[in-house]
Amino acid sequence: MTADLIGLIVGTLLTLLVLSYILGDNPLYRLALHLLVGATVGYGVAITTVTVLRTILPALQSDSPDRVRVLIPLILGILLLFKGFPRWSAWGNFSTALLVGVGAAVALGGALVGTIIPQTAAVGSLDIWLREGLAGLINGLIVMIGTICALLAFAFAAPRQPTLRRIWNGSVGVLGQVGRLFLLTAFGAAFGMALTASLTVLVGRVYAVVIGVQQIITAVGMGGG
Amino acid sequence: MDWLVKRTLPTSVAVGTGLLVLLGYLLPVPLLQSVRDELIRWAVIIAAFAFILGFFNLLRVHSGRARKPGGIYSAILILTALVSLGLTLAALMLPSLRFLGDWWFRYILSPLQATVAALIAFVLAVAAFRLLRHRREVGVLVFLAAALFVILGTLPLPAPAGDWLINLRKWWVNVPAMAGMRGILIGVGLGTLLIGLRVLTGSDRPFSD
Repeated sequence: MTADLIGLIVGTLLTLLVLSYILGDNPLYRLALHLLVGATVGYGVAITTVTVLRTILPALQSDSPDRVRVLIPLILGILLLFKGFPRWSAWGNFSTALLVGVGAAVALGGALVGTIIPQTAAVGSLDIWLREGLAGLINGLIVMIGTICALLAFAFAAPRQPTLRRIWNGSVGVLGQVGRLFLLTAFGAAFGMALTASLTVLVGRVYAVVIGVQQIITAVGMGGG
Repeated sequence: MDWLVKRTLPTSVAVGTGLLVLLGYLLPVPLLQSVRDELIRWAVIIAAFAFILGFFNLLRVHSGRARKPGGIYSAILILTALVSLGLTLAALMLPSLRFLGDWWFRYILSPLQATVAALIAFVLAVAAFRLLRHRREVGVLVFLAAALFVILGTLPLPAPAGDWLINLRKWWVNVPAMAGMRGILIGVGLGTLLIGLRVLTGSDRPFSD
């Protein structure tokens, strides 16, 4: 029995174990799920370890200034491992602080330059919609009003003064309700796309099982008349 | 001393590095940009150590569970994680053993991950059915109608109904769904901006023990 044939049998079996969830939560599915978590985590850690070693080791072995540049994150990384021991976990705070600080700055810059500015500019660019004529302009207005209403759907605070609160509920509250419908439209479209994509994968997996079983039968000689 | 190690110094590190990286993004100064790149490189290396720490934590949690009744799944998880780690490390370090890593990826990891992704179709269909059964509101109907238009517009149906559905899907995704998605994106962006500013001003200290 070749390694490929063993792999084919194991892979087909694992696929069937996961698909058994269609019949309801059961021990076979839970077994497959734990196998998946273990295999994925082990694979990820191996890839990460080797990638870091390949980055650090050549720099550490050289006499260039790169040695110091690599030594600092290496020490911070080792300090981070102290987080695994409650008694010394405070020493890992420096590494976590650097991760959080750099992460926050990258996220902030990304949110500002990559999301808020371009998306806001796109909402206001009615001239692009106008190229498609009157229908395009109407579509552009729907997108603009829809985006504003969707943003107002996230306004949870309201004035305390009763008169102002009534005005607020009559304007922002109503627009927020309309915004919720736009949000649900977006979620529904995302849901439909996810369902379509996962159905394609499901068909692929069922096909792989059928082909796998056929190949196994042929390989072990049961397919012949 | 304890207060210094646990709060003051880590906060200074977070605020200092965060501001340097942010300035590197916002100002076109080559020195700041190289400092930004260097700090991001450091963060990537430290994040790799965080991943390794997470791996050991997973092993520790599941080794505790494995000793309890019904802990067979945890034992299997530990065994699979160690085998996966060993095989992948061997394949990456020794070219002669590369076939082991390829075999593991092709026949174990790939079928498991793809089939779990495929299960999403089943889970989503059941969720939609339950939603329609238990909550009959305008919002739910809008949600399911949007999903239906997108699904029907993807099907290769014959013309003229097929063409009409394709156009409807295109309009639905590009106009009302885009408005909603843009609202979500800008909302998430504003939230990220606020959280980032709170960390960079030292108001939030998620790294302090």
